[in-house]
Amino acid sequence: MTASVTMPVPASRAPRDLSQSWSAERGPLIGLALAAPLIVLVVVMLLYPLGKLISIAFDDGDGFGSITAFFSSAAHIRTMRLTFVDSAIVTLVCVTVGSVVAWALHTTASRLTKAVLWASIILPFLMGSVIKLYALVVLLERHGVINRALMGIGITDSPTRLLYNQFAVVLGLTYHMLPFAVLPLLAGFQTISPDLVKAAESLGASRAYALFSTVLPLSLPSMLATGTIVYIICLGFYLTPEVLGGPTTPFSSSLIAQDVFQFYDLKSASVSALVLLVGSLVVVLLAYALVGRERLARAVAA
Amino acid sequence: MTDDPETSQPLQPHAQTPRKLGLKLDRVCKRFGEVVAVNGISLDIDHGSFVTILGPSGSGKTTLLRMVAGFMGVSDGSIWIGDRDVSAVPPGKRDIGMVFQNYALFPHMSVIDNVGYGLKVRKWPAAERVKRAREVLALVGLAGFDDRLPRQLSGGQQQRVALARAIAFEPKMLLMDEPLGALDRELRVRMAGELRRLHEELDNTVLYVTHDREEALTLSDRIAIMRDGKVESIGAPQDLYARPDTAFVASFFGGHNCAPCEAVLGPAPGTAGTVRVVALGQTIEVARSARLSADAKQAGLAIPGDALEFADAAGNTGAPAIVHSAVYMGNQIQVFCDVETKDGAPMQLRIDLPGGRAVPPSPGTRVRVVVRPQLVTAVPA
Amino acid sequence: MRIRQTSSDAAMTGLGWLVLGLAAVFMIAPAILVVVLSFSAHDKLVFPPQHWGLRQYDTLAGSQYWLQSIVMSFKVAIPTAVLATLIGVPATIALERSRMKGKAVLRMLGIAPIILPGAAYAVALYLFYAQFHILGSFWGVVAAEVTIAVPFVILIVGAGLRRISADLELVAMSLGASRLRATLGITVRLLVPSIAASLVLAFVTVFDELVLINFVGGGQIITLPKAIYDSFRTGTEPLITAIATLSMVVTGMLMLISTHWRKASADRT
Repeated sequence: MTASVTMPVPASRAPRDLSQSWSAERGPLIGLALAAPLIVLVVVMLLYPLGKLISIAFDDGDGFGSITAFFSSAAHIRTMRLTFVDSAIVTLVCVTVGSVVAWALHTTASRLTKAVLWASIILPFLMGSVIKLYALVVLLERHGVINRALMGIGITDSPTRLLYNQFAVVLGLTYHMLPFAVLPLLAGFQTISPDLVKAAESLGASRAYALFSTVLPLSLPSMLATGTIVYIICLGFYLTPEVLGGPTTPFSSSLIAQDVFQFYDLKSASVSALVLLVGSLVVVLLAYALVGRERLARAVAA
Repeated sequence: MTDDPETSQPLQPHAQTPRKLGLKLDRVCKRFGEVVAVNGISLDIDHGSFVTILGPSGSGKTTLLRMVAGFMGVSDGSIWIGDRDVSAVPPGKRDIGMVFQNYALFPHMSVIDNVGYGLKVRKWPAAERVKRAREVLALVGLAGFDDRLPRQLSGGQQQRVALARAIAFEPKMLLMDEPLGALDRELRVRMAGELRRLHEELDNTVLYVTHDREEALTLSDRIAIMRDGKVESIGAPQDLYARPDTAFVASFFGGHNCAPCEAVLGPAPGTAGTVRVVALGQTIEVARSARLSADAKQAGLAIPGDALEFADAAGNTGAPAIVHSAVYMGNQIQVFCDVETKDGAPMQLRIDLPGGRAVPPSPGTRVRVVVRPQLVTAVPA
Repeated sequence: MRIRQTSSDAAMTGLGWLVLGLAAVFMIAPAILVVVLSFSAHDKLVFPPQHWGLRQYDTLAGSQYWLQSIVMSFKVAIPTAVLATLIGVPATIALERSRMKGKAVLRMLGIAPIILPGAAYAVALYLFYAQFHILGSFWGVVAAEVTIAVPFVILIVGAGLRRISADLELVAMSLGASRLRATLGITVRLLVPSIAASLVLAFVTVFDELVLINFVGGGQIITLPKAIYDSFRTGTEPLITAIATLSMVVTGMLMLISTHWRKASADRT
């Protein structure tokens, strides 16, 4: 019997032609072939259009001229501020209320509570985005359900203006986004044992302090990730502000649509869209730096 | 390395037949970018033998096995199964069966379909396929489980299905990657016995990867000990245990104490392969590892726990020590002693005393430790 | 013996229940309202309804305009879901199981259309379509919808694929199967529930999609959401309550089926 232990091959030896050796891992070429349709899709339907958008935004030869013009318009600034502030309010409400709902779903033993909470997440989701708007309009309009109810009980004499203002936009966006906030938050909470709160309480902490000292720090990353996703989806929202907001409180997206469909000013639309894109990108990058790619990806997936 | 096939392979089942090559690795390398996972391993394995690759995690043993299976390409070198260079052959054409640590049973197929998969791919007619699959299932003790799904089986049963699937088409080589790792201890011991029995019945070469030295001892004709992408040592279990040739083999495989020699006095007159050294206050003549050159000035000693014993504490033989702790283990008592060394460096030795009704010494007891040189090997320091 | 709660703990618990109660009412009420109103027999929305009946459903069944918009939604959503699956599944296998370079970037770009601000992406597509005069073309709309269906395929099938051990394919190959056979017979076979679930979710998403249709549909492709959206200009059309109720039931059943499939695949592996 021969058993030999040889020393390492000298580094100077020419590397063997690797095409001669078989490997079960899919090589780069097979991967490329499988991904080719997606690559074509991304190039044609994403990169080219975005390139087109950028080139039109910078079309006037003086480079940043159109951008400067955008930011020197008071109307644009107002719209931008409105968009970013309203989205922030919606995000805050969604993450706060969403956290309470998700934590209750995670910890409650009551089947009834669970069923009601799941219903409140799933029912709006089932309606789809346009029908949700319809339901909110039915509720909020001048002769709508809420106004009739308020007058019926005698709280108000004449219909209150509930629609076509900032309140309606925030309400509509919250209604749309809350289910999408609860799911990733719940996924984040599921890694935290409710026993932690009990342990903290057994050590003498009050309920509030127990929650804030254990659950909050542990779930902060998932809250930040969820908030980021909610925020950037809100920033780009088009339908809700368009239908519930009316002309006095336009979101960036409405402004873009106006430019395209009413004024046929594609350049102005491109500049607004670009500013919106860059704004969202900044938000994503900030979140990326804060919570890391993994958690962000998980929040998207949920 | 000294190698005596008659004594080193008492378990070799096909010793009478003329020797045939089972597996040959020729300077096999695997690099991942800058990292060298397998660094030029050459190895010849006889057909019909059961060879274990034993090494700590990260030593490259699984990478090596996956290259033999064809799941990864070699970065350099070549792999031969039988008399065929398979380096560029896909796994399915290498004539290998493979058993994974997590079994990797197809979850959507019944037991019989799992076992028959390799036959189906080889286009066996359905009736023969089922017949053969039943035979193999009976061989692994799972007759009558045909229509179960993997998730309806216990860990040990899944393990048997994985094994049956790998041997159903009678491959020349059987590759196993820590196949018993996920089982509890009792089941592991029993399965190891069955693997060995099966190997006696089948005409194939087994390459078995594990980090568990007891498994390696129970199963193998030969054991290759891997460390940092290289084979550190290879031999029959008895040889590696009794005459380890490096300090790593002594401690990782043998579980021996490793102690430095205070002085190396050179070869003992008249006896080849031995060396006289000073250690633990004694001048002793011990076996010399082939890796230790005859005129080495420094050496370490591989000392099995049962090669140490206590001497009269009041006398002056051996080295003075203090009992640190003692563990009663039934058939033996392991006593850990802090030995006083000349240079004051800390040294702890494990001494295996017969157990039974003996009472372990209490910590803090002053003792003297002496070594029985017959069981000790001098290895490179 | 009851454990005494401190007052602050009680306040905390009370606050929690208050938030939960308000959230539940806020989220559930609009859906219930729509369903209730769909059984009112008035030709305008009246709350609370005085007369009950299936009038809204009758009107819907007799309206060519609304029925055609529903048909159009199916016409767009079915090929879109199929195309998205055909593009997304092989790509996901490449993203999860190959040594291709730039996987992270491609994955990010593939998912980008559902993360980018909707209107901004829609304008970009509008400019592209305007340049090649394909605004309002059916397949142009389908192509746009495919881009927002593919991310769901990548996410769901990717999650499914990560639950399937890569060793299964290897073991099939060691048993003699070719790579193609191992991929199709083992990995893709085990992926079927995930693929079906992603097909359903892609369909539901596209069925509901409005922003891209609004921008690149050129006003000629009238899907159901587009028809509802257009009706907002003339007030609240009561027959939409019937559409809403029906679509909630159908979507609910589809989601139930797809969740069941995803669960089944999770249990298996």
